[in-house]
Amino acid sequence: MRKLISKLIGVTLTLLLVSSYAWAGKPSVGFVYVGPVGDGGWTHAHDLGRKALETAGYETSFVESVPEGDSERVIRKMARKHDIVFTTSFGYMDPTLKVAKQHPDTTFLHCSGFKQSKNAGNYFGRMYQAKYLAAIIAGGMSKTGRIGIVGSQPIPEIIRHINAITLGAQQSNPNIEVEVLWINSWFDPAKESDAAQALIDNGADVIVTMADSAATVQTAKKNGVFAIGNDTDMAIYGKEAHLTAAVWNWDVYYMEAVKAVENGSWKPGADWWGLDTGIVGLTSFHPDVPQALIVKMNKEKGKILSGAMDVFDHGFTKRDGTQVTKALSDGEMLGMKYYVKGLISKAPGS
Amino acid sequence: MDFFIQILIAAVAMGTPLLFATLGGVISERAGVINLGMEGLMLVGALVAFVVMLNSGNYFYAIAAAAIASGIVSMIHAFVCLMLRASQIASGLALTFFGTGLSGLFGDKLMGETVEPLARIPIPGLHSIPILGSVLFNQDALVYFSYLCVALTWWLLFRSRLGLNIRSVGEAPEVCDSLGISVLSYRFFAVVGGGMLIGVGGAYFPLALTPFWVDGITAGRGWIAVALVIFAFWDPLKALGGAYLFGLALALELRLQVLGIDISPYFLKMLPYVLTILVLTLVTIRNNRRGIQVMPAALGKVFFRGEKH
Amino acid sequence: MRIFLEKRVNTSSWGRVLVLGSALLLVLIISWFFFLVVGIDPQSAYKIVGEEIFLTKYGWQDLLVKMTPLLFTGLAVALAAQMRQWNIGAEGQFHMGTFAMTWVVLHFDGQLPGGVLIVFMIIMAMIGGGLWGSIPGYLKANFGVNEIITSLLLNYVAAAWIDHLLFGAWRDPDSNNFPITKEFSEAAQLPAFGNTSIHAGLIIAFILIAVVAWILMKTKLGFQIRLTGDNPDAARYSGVSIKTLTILVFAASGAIAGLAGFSEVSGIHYRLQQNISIGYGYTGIIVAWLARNHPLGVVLSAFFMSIVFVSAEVLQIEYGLPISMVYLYQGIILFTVLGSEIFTEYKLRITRLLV
Repeated sequence: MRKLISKLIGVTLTLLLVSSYAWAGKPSVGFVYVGPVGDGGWTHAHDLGRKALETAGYETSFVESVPEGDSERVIRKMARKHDIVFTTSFGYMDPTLKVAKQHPDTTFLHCSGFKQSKNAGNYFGRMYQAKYLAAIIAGGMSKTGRIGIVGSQPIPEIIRHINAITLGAQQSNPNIEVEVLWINSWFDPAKESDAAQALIDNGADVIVTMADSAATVQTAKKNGVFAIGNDTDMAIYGKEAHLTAAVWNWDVYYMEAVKAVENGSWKPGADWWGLDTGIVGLTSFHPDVPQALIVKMNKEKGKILSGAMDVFDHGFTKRDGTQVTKALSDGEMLGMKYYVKGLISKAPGS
Repeated sequence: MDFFIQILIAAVAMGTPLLFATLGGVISERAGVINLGMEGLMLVGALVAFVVMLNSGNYFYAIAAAAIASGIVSMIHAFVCLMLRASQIASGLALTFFGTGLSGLFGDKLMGETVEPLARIPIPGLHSIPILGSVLFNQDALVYFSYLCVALTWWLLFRSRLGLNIRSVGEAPEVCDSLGISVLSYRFFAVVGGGMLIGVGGAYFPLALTPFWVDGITAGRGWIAVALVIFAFWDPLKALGGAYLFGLALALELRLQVLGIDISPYFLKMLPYVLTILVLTLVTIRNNRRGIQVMPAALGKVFFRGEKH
Repeated sequence: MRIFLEKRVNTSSWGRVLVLGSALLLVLIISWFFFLVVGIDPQSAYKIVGEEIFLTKYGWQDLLVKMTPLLFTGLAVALAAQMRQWNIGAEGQFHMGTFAMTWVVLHFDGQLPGGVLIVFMIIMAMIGGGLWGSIPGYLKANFGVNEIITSLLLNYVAAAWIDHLLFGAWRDPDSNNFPITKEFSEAAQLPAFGNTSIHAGLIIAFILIAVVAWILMKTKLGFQIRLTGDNPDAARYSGVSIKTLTILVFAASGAIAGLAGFSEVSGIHYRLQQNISIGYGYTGIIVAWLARNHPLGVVLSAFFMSIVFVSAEVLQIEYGLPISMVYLYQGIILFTVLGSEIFTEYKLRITRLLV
């Protein structure tokens, strides 16, 4: 009996060794997702990036709907199977670092956090730039001079986007008013829809959502107003209403990062990629968007692309009236919790 | 005034899926069977309604299919709790897993598909009643159907022979058994019938509120309905009020922000549950004095036929 | 001919083991069909899952880490159930435990020596969970309000309370204002075993299980609890104060669930953040039920449930099974196990007589 067991263990070890040897050519890549790939938003966008890696010949796998409270074990499993592990929710930050320490030979990349170690880095995209550009269109298309935003949970990332949208819309209409309704949840389609309805009832005629589902696009369509999609192209859910969407193109980053690991040039760091890399961008515009508005948006886009300007680098007024004159550092942007002028209500917790 | 009416309209819209699910829960619990798997059943109902709607374009088929599908799935719960005498609570949790999984699995390919949401049909005459008319009688067909279900459930439970037996097996199964009433049959009927209504509650999401499919579309409403059954004191009429009150709480969370009223949204989230506990306690105290039972006496208890102590 | 079920007069331990063994076999058979249907070769699936879980040290580590909170919550539910009280509020008591112990860390971290700090955290987690648990106990004891309902509803309240703190006063400005508290210093962290994530919470859980088992089986208090569960009238005649006992048992049950929260936060996360409990309180109900509410049985059933969860992850990673299929699979497994439990309490009898 004992012989049998030791034999079994021997076979297992050989199997493990053989299989790990097989990965030696191209690195294999694992993804840990916070939502289901069918969420049509955040996780779906990351999964499109993963599929791009597959197409490029990399072996990948993923685990979806991993709750933060349980992520450490899943990340560890992925670390054993893969050479590179991407973890795509803020709440995975500490577990990622912890597992990175236990698996020094694996490379870890955590999305949206701020901690690094020898074999763990983080990455994110400057989505606020895309939101800013989308809002130039939104501000120009609003006849009532009022934009409504459906907020998910009040974390700095979302507040940064809300501010970028407000500043962008002011480019087209300096007097534009922006109203935010928080659903205080990451996912609740019915409530997102109701929030959009409340915003429309209150006079908004362009709805921007920070939540993942297409509920707001549909509500906008029903009411005959416009909407801007979030994270992925939502035009399929209501092209009559869909002005454009500020989307993630994670494939750009994933290809680059995986290649860097593959040829040994990868270094831990905080990659916060901007519009110029293509990691964020806009989808095609609604046919009703006038050419002049697109030209205007493209002018701002050109400035961002050339590095001549960024959204929060040339001063703005906070909602409470204080002036910000110097450019914000990345750290200040990442911890943003105040609103800029132009927003109707107060920022939560301020 | 408009603002006020809009809140009430939103409360009815948000409350309607809760109402169907609560009615389903009331029927099941009146017979003595707790169903914690409501979230799973609603998701099954939502998925099936969406798929059938997408393929047939017929609301009636969609709703009927949702009811049938959830009815079939709730048979598992009935079978495990009643025939195999497992814990109703544990089985309900298993049902949540099962329903969530089932809906996610078959909803996999539906991303990007949409259906036409149910249209509002003003009821001639009634819809011009001030306030009430536009809140209650300018709604879609499923909302009207929910009024009918409230009345029917009430009639079933309190005015029909069938309902009397359902309530009896939930109160005193041993007595029923000795009188020759089949406890298990009535319970089975109540669980499956209730399950069908819960499924219709799920169907309201893709057919009216959010006319597309996304994983977990009901976003935890099934769990609210579990609490609502209690809040309604196992009474279909109170379920109507309770569902709209919870719907109002959901609608208010957003509209208070419109008004610029600064209340922690998390306290608003707690409020309905704290209220339910308070009211339940007060009513229990009052009824204790009068010697009335609020809750079906055999709720959650396993019934075993033929065991003689 | 007629087939019917007869209640077993007393279930022998061997009989129980036999039934449990058959239940596991049934699980394996049903899984076999499940794998076939979803297009996985069952034989290789068993092999890979088995190897991953049982033949690697990581597999064992995962099992033990996953098992730790379930031991606590399972025990919490089982203790109350010994008195025929259904505590389905372990989830909320877990949260209130994390709340109370995090309060300690936020106020005393760095000011108290390590050992004292941990003990203080443990005590507060027990008080937090215990007070929360005693609410349904109090309402039940004094007014007869159904405990299933109140304990369930309090879960929602506790979850909202944690969100309120995380999005408000407890948000850490140094973590970019994300809804997480600051990281605990090492003094507030439970030690881990070597370079693994298995932490001292597991030991605490085992000690607690032993203590609860001893109280239930060997002390007068335990006898009173069990007697009240079996026959409240007899208990009342023999002078047990059912009111006091109900509140006490609920408080103890809540305290144990609160410790689950302590163990997770101080042993794994080192800070309070959203989604720390992923339904451990609810899973605890299943754990307790499978253990027939016996504290020692909780160890076995928590182990079993960990296998169910961990193997689901292996299937996801190895076979790319979508999460929905995993939920479906878990649902089927749970139904199977729940359903087959019937044969421990009842036996099939076939007669030719018309009864």
